[in-house]
Amino acid sequence: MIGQDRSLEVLESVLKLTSADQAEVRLQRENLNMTRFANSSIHQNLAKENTTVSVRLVFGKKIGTATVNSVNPDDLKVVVETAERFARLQEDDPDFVTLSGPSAYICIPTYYAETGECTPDFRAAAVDRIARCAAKSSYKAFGAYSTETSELAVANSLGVRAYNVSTSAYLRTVIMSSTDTATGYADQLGRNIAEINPQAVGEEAVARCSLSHGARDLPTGEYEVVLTPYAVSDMVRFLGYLGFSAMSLQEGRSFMAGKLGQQIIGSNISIWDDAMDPHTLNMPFDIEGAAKRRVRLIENGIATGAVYDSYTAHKGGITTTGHSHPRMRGGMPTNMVMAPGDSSLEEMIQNTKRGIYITRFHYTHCPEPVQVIMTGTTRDGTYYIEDGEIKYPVKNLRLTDSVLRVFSHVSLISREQKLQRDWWNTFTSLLPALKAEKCNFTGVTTF
Amino acid sequence: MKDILQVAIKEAKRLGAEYADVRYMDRKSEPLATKNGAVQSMASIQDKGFGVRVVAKGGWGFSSSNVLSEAELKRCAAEAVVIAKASAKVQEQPIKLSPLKAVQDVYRTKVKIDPFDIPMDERLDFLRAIDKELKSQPDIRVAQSSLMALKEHKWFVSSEGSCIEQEIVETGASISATAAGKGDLQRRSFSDYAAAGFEYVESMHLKDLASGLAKEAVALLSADTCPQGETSLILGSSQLALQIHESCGHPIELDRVYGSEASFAGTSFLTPDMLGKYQYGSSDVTIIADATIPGGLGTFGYDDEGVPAQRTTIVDKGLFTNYLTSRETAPTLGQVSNGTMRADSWSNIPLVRMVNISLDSGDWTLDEIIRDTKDGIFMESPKSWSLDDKRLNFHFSTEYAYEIKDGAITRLLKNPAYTDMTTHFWNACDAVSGKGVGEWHLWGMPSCAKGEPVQIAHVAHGAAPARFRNIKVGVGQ
Repeated sequence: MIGQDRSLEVLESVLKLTSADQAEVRLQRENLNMTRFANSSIHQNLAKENTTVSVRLVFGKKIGTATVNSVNPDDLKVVVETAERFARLQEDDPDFVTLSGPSAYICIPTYYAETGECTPDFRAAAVDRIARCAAKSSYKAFGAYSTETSELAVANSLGVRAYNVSTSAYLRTVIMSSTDTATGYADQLGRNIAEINPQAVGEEAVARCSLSHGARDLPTGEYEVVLTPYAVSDMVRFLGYLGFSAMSLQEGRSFMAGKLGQQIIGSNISIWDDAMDPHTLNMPFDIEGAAKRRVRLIENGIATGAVYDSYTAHKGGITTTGHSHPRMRGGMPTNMVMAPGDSSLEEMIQNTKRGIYITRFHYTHCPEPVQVIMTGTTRDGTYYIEDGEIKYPVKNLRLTDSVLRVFSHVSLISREQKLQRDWWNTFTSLLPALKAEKCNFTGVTTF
Repeated sequence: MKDILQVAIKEAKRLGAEYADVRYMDRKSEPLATKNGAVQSMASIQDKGFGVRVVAKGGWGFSSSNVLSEAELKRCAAEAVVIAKASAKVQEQPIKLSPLKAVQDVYRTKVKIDPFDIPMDERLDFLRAIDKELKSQPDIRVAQSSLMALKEHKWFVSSEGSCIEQEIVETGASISATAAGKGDLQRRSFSDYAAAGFEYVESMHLKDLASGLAKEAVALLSADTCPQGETSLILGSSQLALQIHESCGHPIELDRVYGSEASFAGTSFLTPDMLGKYQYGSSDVTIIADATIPGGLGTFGYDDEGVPAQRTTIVDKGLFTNYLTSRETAPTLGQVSNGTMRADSWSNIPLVRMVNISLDSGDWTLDEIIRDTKDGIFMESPKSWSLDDKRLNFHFSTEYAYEIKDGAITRLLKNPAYTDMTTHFWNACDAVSGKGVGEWHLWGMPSCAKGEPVQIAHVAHGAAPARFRNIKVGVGQ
């Protein structure tokens, strides 16, 4: 780790190098350790460390940026000179007002030494436990176990000084049968590795795999669906990606554009973003050093709001919500939460006349963003439900439907929520399981 | 550079590694993007560091750092050995690598105009002029353009005696026009990239293309929606390039076949028992993996294991004949590596990645295919893509389509999509063009995701328009 003192020392030194009207410097250090396994053997195992310094300089309404992965003073001087040169090449950005001013943020526990100091032997032992769990049923285990320590420090010429160090641990596995195409999936994610239970992950995935033997064909068409949080995460991803950014709203691209205050999905669904919730991968501030605020996105099915960075906030005449993000200009949700209900997966199955239980989706995409039409196939545990019981496993199906339509027909929501990363690793969200009355399937696979 | 990198090799060997290599990469990029003529991003990104990869006690270990010093090289070598020994504790078979002759060589992309020699203000003016053309129609709400300039200098040193220096230069551009009206949004875009200098961008004639895209985006607002049904599908060159990528390029990655990506990207329907026996496509389908084509984003001198770039026939007149392999996976088929291991940075391990995977030209022209089609739809320009985890069931949508009746184009169609199974699709191919000038094109795609942590590879696919019979279209409207 670099630590708070040294990180801010580097940032202060960079701020002194420029005569820009406003300057912002960001230091990010990443230490990622990842053990991947396939066929119950570790086949990839790595450690990576990197430190980047990003500079954003403002001259009037002209902005230049540059990044280097070094804290060497000579490299930092060059990066400042480059950002200055780039800023001067630009025309005024009329919508730019100012960088973020200081905002008090609350220091919350985000670092856990057990995670930060995790060894390759510790991860190997966890993989071995899952492999043994799989072997009891003559299955093989595949997956990855990663730990990450991230430092983020931000300083700007308006007085922002922010530092945070956080850890996260993520374990996931696909269990496969060697005799047919049966598979099962499970994962766990959190800031503290002590809360990850490899045995439980292995047993959950093995149980799903054991239910998946002899998958049958199911005709395409409309079915009721029971969606685990794994599956819900890929649907919520499209809402977050396509609609909850202030910029997509301001530009009219969001499915919520022109519909704020209107009912857009079922009244039993509420989604908000809350980076201070300790059940999420919590974080006190964003990459501009702005304190994270809780934002209501959809409340009781009504389009309510979006997340902002300083740029879109100033354009909208409000204060940033602390959602500046390197991957999406104009604000991006980071800690979405869907309100829990009062049901359970068991009750959802019992209340299904003719439906499909979906563990997770694979490689989803959105052919029509305006209607949030999603397409993708199921995987790692898809089962046919009839008259309140899981009858048999089915071959994977292709879902093609509007997420807004499916979320308009949700009848049951689970009490339990799970911290869930979507397949694409775009978001980490706290999500319940859902039962929807209508969902359209357009294709089938052969396994 | 060779001498300092040897520090890690010696340290790894001293600590018991059976094999070690070190890769140092210094990558500079200057992404530039505009939106409606205003700068969206203008940045300089300098990224350098090294990774040490070892085999110790038969297991893999890898450690990397952004600080190049003797002390850090030794620290990473030691960490890689510790990690490898941990890997070996949960392993059914020790790692065995296919034999490789040690190489001392230098490879450089052939460049006429170094993109970094074009002043940034000239690059910006270039994009602003394109944005102006893209905005030439009143219904165009958003005009976007971007330029890529990338230079990657890397050194590879191995315990087997190889020392390879490579300099890869890449350029390219992406432009799009989004039209709004009649309660709809429609987008037309064009993008292409190559391992070449700025001369490649100049050859793209983007200003001319821009005004056409703007008109097409506006026309789509009034177009009929693609009908549903089963018909003859003609894919344009850029859409077919993506089809090759997703339904051929990924399933032939041999590490994926063996389950390396099972928990994320998935596996493959192309199991080893099918090699040399399986009719992947019709006799019109020949697919080649070639890392030696000048200008391809999948072109290099040596892969990141030090294996020379090669040309491999993947599908020969429909018959599945080979995979993309590595030094670890090739011996399982009794082969040596065909040189496809690449990492997207110094901090990631190399994986089996696509190179330039292309469909051979056929003996038709596109005009001849259209004239020969009684009922069909021509689709072009990728919009969305989704495949199952064995790469069988797929769904693609494209930006635009044309209906074909009695051998002629009859109307423009919006929101086109098609779906099929890979096994049926390639066997339904009955005409491949390429006889006409410029019909076959090598498309650079700098966005292929694979691995954990995710790595983004730069690959290319050559294709000319081709026809596929009895394909389900208009799905999911």
